[in-house]
Amino acid sequence: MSKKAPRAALKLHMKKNTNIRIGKNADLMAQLNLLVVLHRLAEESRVKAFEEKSATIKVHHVRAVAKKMLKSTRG
Amino acid sequence: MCSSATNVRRSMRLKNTPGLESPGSALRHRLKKKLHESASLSPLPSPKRPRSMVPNTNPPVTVPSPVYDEDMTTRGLLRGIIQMETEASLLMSGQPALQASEPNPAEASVSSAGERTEGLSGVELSDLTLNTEPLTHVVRGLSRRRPQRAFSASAFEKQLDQLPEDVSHVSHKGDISEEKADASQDLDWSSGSKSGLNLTLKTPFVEKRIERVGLQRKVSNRRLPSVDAFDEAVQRCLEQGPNQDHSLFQDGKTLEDSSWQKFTLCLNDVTELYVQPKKDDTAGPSAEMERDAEYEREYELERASEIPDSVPLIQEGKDHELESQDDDEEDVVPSSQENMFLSPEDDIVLAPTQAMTESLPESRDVELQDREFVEEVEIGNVVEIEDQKVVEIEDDSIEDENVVEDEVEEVQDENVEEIEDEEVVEAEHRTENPDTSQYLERITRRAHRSEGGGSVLGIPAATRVTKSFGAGLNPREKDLLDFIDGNRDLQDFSDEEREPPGSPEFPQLHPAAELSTPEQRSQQHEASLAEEDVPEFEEDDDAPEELNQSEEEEELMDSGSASQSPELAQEEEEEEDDDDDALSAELSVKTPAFVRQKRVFTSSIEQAMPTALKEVNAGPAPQVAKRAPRQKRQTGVDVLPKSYVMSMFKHFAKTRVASDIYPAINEILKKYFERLADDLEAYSTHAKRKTIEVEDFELLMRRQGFVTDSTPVNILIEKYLPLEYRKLLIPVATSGNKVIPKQRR
Repeated sequence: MSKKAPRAALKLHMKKNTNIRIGKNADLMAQLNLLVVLHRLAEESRVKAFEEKSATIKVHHVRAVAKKMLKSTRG
Repeated sequence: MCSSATNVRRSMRLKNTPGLESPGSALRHRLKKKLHESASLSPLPSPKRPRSMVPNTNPPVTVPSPVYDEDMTTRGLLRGIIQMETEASLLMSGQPALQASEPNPAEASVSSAGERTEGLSGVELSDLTLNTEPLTHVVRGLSRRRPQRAFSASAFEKQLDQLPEDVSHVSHKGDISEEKADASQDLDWSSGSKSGLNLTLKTPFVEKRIERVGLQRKVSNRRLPSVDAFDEAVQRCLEQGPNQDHSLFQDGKTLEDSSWQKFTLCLNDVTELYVQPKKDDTAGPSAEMERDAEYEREYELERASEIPDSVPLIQEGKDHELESQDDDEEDVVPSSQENMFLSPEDDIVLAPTQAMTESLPESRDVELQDREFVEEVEIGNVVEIEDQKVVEIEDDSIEDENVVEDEVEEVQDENVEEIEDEEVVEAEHRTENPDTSQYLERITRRAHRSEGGGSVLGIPAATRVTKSFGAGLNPREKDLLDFIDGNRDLQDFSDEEREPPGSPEFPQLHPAAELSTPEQRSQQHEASLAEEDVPEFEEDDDAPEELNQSEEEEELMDSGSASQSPELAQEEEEEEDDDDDALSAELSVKTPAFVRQKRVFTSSIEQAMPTALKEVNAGPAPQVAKRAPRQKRQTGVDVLPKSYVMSMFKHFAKTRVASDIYPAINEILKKYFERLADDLEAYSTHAKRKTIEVEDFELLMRRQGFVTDSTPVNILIEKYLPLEYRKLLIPVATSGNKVIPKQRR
C-alpha cells in the first residue's frame, strides 16, 4: 500500500506548536513512524474486534486499544 | 418382475447369508421373521431385524443386535421407521424383510445399501403395497445418503417441488432421506404412499427441510429490501410515467432513464455527473417531465459543477420555455445522468411531488415554470410537509444560506457557499422532512454551486423561494419553481456556451442582480451568522477565487439586487414570472462569474461530489446532520486525509473496517502527533540541534519499541515506505561508486 503520504500535513503537525525545524527527510521518517503506529493500532483493534467475534472493526474496538497504544508508544 | 432383480441382489447377499435357498423361500422366511420380530421386538429394531436376519444365515430368529446398532445411525433410524411401517401395514411381505435382510448390516456399505434399497424398492413396488414403497425409498435414501450428498440440494429441491404434489408425507420423507436418490424419490412420489406412517416419517423430513429452508430464507430475506426498494422505485416510475408528457420525449427519456436508474443509485453516474450535462430545456408541454428532468439535471449539474452549461439553460429557460427546453434537451443527456443520480433521491422526493406536479400542470404554463415545477415537485413534497417553512422562507433567506452551508460542507465548500445558501433557503423551507429536505437541500446546494455565483444564487434563490410561495401554486410548486429556477440559473450561468437570452430584463436584472447579490449575500450572511455566515464567510475566505467571482457576481447582483431585494421582500407571493425575470437577470449576471467559477466549482464540486453522493446515498439521517449550522471550515481538523488514513488502516487491518472509525482514529492520531512532536523536540534539543533530524526519529522508534537490535530502521523503511521515499532515506549504492542519496562526507 504505497500511497502518497501527505508530507506537508505531517510536517505541519510536527511543527504545530514549536518553531523547531524539520530536517530534510525527517518527515519521511515521520510517515514511517505513523505507518508503524497505525499498523500496530490496526492489529490491536483487529484482535479486539475478533474477541468480540465481529468481522469488522468497529469504533469501540479502536477506542479500547487506543489508550493502551498511546501509552506504549510514548518514547 | 422386480423380484427378479431383487432376487439377483438377494443372490448376492445370499452369498453372504447362507441358508437362503431361493428368493421365494427367503421371502417367506423373512416374512415370518418379520412377524416374529414385530411381535416380539420394538418397532425400531424391527426394521433392522430383517436385515440382521439375512446376514445371520437367515435364521428365523431375529437378531436385533445388529439392528440396534444400525438404529443408532440415521439410516438405522429411518430403517426402523420404515420397519414400523412395514410392520404396521403387515402387508409387508417377505420382500421388505428380504430387502432388509438383503442388506447386510455388517456390510453397511453404501453400495450394498443402495443395492438393498433398490432391491427393496423393486420388490416392494411390484409386490408390496404402497406402504412398502415409501419405506424402500426411505431405506434407499438412507443407504444412499452419504454417497449422494452432493445431489442432495438438487434432489431435495426436486423433492420440495414434488412435495406439494405428493400428499403423503412418507414420500416426502423418502425424498428427504433420499435427497440423493432421485430415482427412489420418483418412486416414492409415484407410489403416492398413503401409509399411515406418514406422520412418523414426517418428522425427519421436516427437520431436513428446515435446514434447507433456513438457508433459503436467508437468501430471500436479503433480497427483500432490495425488492421493496425496487418496488417503490417501480411505483415511482409508474407515477412519473403518466405524468410525463409523451411530447417531451427527451425529457421523458431522461426521466425514464432516470427512473430506471432511480432504482439503483447509479454511482457510476457520478463520473457522468462531473461531466457537465447541459440541461436541455424540454418542451414546455411536459412540465412535469421537464421539471423532473431538469431537477435531476440541475441536481446532477450542480454536482458536476457544470454551471456554465446550466447558466445558459437557466437563462433560456426563463425566457422561453422552448429555449430552455432546447437547452434542457442538450442537458437531457447529462441530466439523465443527473437524473440517475438524483433519481434515487428524486424518486423519494418526486414520488409525492409528481402527484403535485401533475396537479400543477396548469400553473406551469410559465416558461420557467418548467424548472420551477421541477423544483416545486421536489420542493412540493417538502413544502407540503412543511408549510411552515414557507413562512420561514422570508426569514430564512438568510437561514437558507446557513442551511445550505451546512449541506454544502459536505458537498462543496467554497464556491458554492452562496449557492448553497439559496439552496438551503429553499431546502429549509421546503423540507421539514429530513428525507425530502435533505434531498432538496442537496439539490439546491448543487444547483447553487453549479451556478457558481453564490451571491447570485442567493438572490435568485430567495426570489424563487418567495415566488414559489407567493404564487397561487402550491407552496411546493413554488418552491420547486424557485428551486428549479435557481438551479437553472445556476446551471445556466455555469454554461458558458449559452448566452443569456436577449430578454431585456436580463441585462437590467443582471446589474441589479449583481448589486443585489452582494447585498443579499451580505444580508444573508449577516443573518446567518448564527449558522452559516461564519462558514460562508470562511468559505469565501478559503476560496479566494470564489471571492473574486463573487465580487464580480456581486457587481452584477448589485444591479439586480435592488430589483431583487424588493422582489424578495414581496417575493413570497410573487408570481413565477417575476422570479423568472429575476432569475434571468441573475443568469445573465452570473454568466461571467460562473465562467470563472466553473473551474472552481468543478474542482470543488468534484470533491464534494463524492461526499455529496455519499450523503445522497446515505439518506435522510446524514442530511439531517448536515443541516446543522455549517461550521467554519477548519483546516486543522483533519489530521490527515481520510482516504489515506482509512486506506492504510484497512490495509493493515486486513479485515473489514467500519467507515465511521475515521474520527476516532483522527483523534488518536492528533494526540499522538502532539506527543510525537514534543518528544522529537526534546531529542533534538538534547542533541543541541535546532532541527529534527532523521536520527531523532530513529531514537524515537527505538524507544517506542518498533526498532530493536534485531530490526534495524532500514528494515522498517523498506517495509512501509514507498519506493521514492525509501531511496531518500536509505543510501543505495549504485555503480560508479555513487551512493544515493548523496552522502555528504
